[in-house]
Amino acid sequence: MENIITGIQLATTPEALIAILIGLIAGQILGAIPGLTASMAVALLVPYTFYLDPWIGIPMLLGMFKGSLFGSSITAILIKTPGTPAAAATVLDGYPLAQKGKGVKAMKMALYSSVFGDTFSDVMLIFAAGFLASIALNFGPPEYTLLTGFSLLCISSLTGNSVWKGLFSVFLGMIIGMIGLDPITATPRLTFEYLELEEGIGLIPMLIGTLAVSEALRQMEQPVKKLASSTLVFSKHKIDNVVTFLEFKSTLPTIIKSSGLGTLIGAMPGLGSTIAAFLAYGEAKRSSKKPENFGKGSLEGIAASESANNAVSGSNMIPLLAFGIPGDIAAALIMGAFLIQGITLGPVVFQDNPVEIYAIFAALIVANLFNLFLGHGLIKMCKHVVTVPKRLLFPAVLVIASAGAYALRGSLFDIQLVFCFGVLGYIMMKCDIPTVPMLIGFILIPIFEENLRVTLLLGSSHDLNVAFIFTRPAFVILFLIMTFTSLFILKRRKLRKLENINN
Amino acid sequence: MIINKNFHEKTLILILLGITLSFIFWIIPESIEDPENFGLQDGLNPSFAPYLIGFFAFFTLVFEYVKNYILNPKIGLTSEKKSFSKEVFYRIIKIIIVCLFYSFFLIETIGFYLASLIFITLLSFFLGEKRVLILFFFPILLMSIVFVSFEIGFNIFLPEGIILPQLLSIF
Repeated sequence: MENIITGIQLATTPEALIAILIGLIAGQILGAIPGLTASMAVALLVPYTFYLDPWIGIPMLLGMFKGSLFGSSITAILIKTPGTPAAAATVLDGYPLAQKGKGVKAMKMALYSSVFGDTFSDVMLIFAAGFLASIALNFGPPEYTLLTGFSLLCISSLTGNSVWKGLFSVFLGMIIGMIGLDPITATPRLTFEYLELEEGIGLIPMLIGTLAVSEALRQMEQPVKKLASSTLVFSKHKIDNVVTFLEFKSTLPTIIKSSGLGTLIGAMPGLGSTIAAFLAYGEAKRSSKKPENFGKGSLEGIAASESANNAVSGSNMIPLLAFGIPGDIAAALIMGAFLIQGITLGPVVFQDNPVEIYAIFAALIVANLFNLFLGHGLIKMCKHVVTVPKRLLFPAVLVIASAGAYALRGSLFDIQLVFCFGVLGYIMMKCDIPTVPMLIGFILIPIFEENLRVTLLLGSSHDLNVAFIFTRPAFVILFLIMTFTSLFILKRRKLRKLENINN
Repeated sequence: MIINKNFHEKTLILILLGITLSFIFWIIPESIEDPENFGLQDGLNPSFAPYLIGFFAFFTLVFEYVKNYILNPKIGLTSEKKSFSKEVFYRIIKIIIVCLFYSFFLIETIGFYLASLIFITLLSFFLGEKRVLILFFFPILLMSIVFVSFEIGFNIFLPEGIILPQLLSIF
């Protein structure tokens, strides 16, 4: 108990609180710049933490990480440009809602669900870190293969009106994801001896190009007169600018479910917030009473993706704190900052540094509270940015997107990719081929292929061959859950069809 | 111009089929060299997954074509129409050319900042901005913000280009 109180005191000193505030503000601004990811925001700050007191540097780092995740949803909603890949799923409903004049409502929904998801995963981290980490550590290549394979199958719920176009889009994304070096043999694939392609296609240029540049091109089609107006008009009705208690209450089950899903995915090393957001979005659409509203500005859609991607931020600390295994790049960077301060994370950290651990927990919760208040300020500020006429805003977006794409790898090729994917996305849009399944296929294929091939390798040295996967309890449990879920989906669809026929 | 949406879909499937076939029979064999004596026991060949995806895409397209245009040939008669504007087409082609010129040539040659100044001014003018003051000051203001935030704030140095450093070295 004494440790808990000392930990809370450490995290709530005026210096630590100011550090959290600075981290949050910087994170929200950085997150809103297309191309600069949450990991990059943390990476930029890590060197400075070395010169700061541990209880100023680390809360600032945590604040920055949380702030950047919310900041990225602002641009996703207002200009269809996700600040970080994690907010790509927010575009699907946030942007259409903003087009209806309800941009502020969409941003507020994103803020509330972000803070909820964040707090949910932090609470899970505090109370169930050990338990969740032990589940996650049972997941090996066969389980990852099953999980990603199932996710790829579930993408059919995001395919729009035509199933074949959605499928083709997924296949296209998978093929683009295979460009580069083979994960097992390091043989170049689909590179045509072009050196830049050997590094593979970056997710950031692909995301910015397919979502932001293609949308900018579509908007620039409009007659000159229309381009003199701003991209968004904000409704003056109060009801369109707030999230009512009833609206929040109706989305609460989705938020809780998505936060749970995000927490679970965050606890598994290597999956990350982008996958969590898309999976939660698909699941919310599947289980919604009004799935037809998804993609047209559904509050549920925004709530699902935002709560899931933010839930990852807390839970990716689970394997980090419990076993010293970072769940993603941002967690690895945070681990680095701890090492700089002389704290080694892992199973013994709860015995060796209990005060520090409780201080981290307190800092995480304080950062969420501050994020909620600061988020309102950011929403007000960003509202004015999009009042710039389209003919000035879109060239500016293209330039900032180029700078953001360049920043990550310092490669001119990435800027060129941004525009190539912009053109591809525009052509796909004109042919009514959805671009989101392509992005999901691209994100999932490396994890799927690598784990599938490692599973086959493991099988070749086993007496039972590939059938060895059924000797793994984690695989069998996951397999049963997925089979029952699929059967449930099919049954529900059948019932819905029958209901439609009867009506 | 009005085009039949169904004809558009049919053409699209045929074009995508052509692309898929060339991917399977030309792009994969040309760009992936499988190591010798490599197989299932070693975790599959590098070309296995691309072939698999390629064939999945091929069968999806063939299935769609057969279902809609061979088993149900009358579908085209009831299809809705889709409008297509030549003016918009030429306009967007021009914008795409400007964007590709900026990303493939301009940045590399004269550097990010100068290229972006020219790009924003040109594109804004093309999109209908005629106020000289705005055309002059808006790009400068934006590039100043980009410079301060990237170069000073984040220590990220954007491309200088080929010409500018050479000119600076002369003077």
